[in-house]
Amino acid sequence: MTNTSAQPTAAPAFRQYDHNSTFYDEMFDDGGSPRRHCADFFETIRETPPDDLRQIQERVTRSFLHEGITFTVYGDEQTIERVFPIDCLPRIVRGDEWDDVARGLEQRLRALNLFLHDIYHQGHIIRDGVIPAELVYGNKHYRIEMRGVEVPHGAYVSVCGTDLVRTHDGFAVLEDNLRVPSGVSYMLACRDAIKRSMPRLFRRSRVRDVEHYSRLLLETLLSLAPPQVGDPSIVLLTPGVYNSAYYEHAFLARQMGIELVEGRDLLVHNRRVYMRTTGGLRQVDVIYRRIDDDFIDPVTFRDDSVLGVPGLFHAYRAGRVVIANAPGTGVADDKAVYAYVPRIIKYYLGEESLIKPIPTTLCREREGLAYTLANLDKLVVKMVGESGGYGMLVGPHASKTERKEFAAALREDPDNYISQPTLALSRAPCLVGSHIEPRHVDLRPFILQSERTEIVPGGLCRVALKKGSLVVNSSQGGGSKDAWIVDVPEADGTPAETDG
Amino acid sequence: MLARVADNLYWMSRYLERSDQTIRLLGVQVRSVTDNTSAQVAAGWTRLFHSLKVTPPGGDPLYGDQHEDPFLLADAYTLADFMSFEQDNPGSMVSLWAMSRENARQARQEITQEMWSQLNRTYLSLRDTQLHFFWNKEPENFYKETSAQIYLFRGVTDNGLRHGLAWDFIRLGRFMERIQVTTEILENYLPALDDEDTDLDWSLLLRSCASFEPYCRHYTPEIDPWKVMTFLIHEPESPHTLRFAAEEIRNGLGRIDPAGGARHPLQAAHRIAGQLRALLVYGSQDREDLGGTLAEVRRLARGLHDELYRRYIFYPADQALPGR
Repeated sequence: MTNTSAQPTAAPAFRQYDHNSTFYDEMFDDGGSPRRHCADFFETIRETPPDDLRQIQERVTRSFLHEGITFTVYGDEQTIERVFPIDCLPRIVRGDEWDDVARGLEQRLRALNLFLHDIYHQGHIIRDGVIPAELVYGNKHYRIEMRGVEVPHGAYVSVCGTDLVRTHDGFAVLEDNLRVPSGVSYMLACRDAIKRSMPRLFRRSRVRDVEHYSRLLLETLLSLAPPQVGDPSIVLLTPGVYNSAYYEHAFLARQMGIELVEGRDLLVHNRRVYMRTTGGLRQVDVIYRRIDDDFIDPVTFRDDSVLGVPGLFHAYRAGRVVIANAPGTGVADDKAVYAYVPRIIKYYLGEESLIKPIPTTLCREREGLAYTLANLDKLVVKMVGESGGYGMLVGPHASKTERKEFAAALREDPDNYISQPTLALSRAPCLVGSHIEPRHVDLRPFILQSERTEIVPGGLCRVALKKGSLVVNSSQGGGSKDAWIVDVPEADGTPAETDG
Repeated sequence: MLARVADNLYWMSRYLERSDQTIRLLGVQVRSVTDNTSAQVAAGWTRLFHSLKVTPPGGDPLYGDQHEDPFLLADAYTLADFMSFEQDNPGSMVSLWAMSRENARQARQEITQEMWSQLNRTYLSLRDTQLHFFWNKEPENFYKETSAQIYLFRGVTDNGLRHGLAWDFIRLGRFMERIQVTTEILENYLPALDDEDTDLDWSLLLRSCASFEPYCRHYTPEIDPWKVMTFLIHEPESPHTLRFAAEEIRNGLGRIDPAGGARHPLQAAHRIAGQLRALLVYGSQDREDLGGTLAEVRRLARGLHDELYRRYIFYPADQALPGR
């Protein structure tokens, strides 16, 4: 025992492990010893021959390939179907830490839904001067068509995926994804693969379940259905096989036992929505849509969309069908609005934000722009409307020329940018070939809201597989890991939770 | 079930059946090299391309007077490669698998994980295979093993998927394709039936239709051309005969849409399926009617396909509005 804590990383797989205390390490403390909730896992991995680990990794990758767990990368010239990279070592999070995070996430989503209701009705928060009107009404994701529309349970956002990062100061929200967040199927597929690869270790580790996500999602969608409908018909609306998240759409539809429809399967007649079945037309009551606002209805929104359903929005406004998430939620996950979320929480709930915000500078403000330009080598600068890691500058990692080009773009259109300090993102052990190295990670838990709020313990843990990289997006060389929320026994040996 | 998805399942199944037929014909052709004369092998390639309605690479010498072209035989490798792995040939085995998989991908919510995995896994391995890996070793075994992957897929389907609408459309696709390809194969053997001088090996036809063993059980291993023909058309219990397929199609339609009787007028699709079955059960088995029977089977099968689409897939929306 003393041996292992004195030289915890002497095992072959950990020989090249870089203990750099600049970054919070998910498995080791600053002295290089495994954290208590990771100790058992560490011991097991330490005693596993590196080749066995490599084989687990290969088996997991192969099973992903066979199951078709792939995503599509859009390049300039060609699109490629790739296996979603998975790292077989889970990221382990302590149960009590998670509980704090979960409370913070619930608070955040509750406030954001109240915010959305407000800005599509009276707009008190704007009149009270808490947030500038142009940030809301001038936002390209603000949907004037949504004004006055009543949304069941006030749940504009019923499915939310929030990106969390951890530093030495604890968890922080990197961004909210309130439109059509994806990734939950990868969370479930990772869990399934890991359970098959390390069943005994998994069982021993007292990991909280995530498998009930699909059931919770179905319950959430059911509770959104118009109350007069006895046995609501629910569908998942996908852009189709060429969408990068098609695997996920099919996966969720299968898990929930609902139809996976495309725009061409639906039609609107007399403000009711129908799907074409082999037995004729059947009315649809709830649409879990995985198509962006712009494309859902060519009559109301973009008229060049071939993915959507003409007349869908009218059926929605008439209350004949429910669309989840509601159109127009993008205004609340805007990167500029992000800076106001602590104030939004305070305004509606009278509470302090439970999860620490990342200090955000708005380049639309004169001092903000000056500060950002002067500190470009230290900051992360993001385009307000972009997502998926596109349109972003990581100052410390960028070349002089890249920074110069970005500075020019910034001066050109400062309203479109925000900046944040470069965070020392936490790292977790990852298998690289046959040895283990630390890589930067984040975590995207999924929060469901209708009558109540549900969060499955864990989320999609994304990894920047490139050494030193901070970008975890799958389109930019990121992969994923299973995230284990574990309940550790108390120090005296009594379990924190008993099996009953 | 969504109409579009029924369409996907139907085609997933048709492409897979066509691939099964193609693989079997290739296996027979490869086997023929060890068993038969050069002329027989060359004639076999002609029948193969004609039956599958594929134009061989480099144009269409097979349709002219160049039956004896020695290059055809010498170039068996090219022909086999073209029908197995050429991605630009929509009729090649690998293209058919790709189409089947693409259709399955769009019907993921209706098929099981095991079905998808079996289809996907086999496709990926075929995509990464090349003819020269096995051509000089044991080509027949390669085709047999690939066939086995299709049988595995069907086993997984029959034992894992609910025998509901999706299963019915999958079966419909399989037997619609089977009836069509088998008819083409039989029509290509017709001329030899009346040719007294032919040295044609009629066991090749039985093998092409996966019916060698059923035939031997029914008759004897003594191969009689006329018996082979009538067996493949009218025998009710062997899964690769025309009659068997017609019975399956009619029963499948009955499950999908239990029409008929006084209250529901008979659908056009049901009517054609009934005619097809009647032709193969009660139709003439005289020698001079054989060509006409096969032509009629082909016509009815095509009409049935159109009616299926009119009824279940591309129906006009205004006629299908429900109360709720």
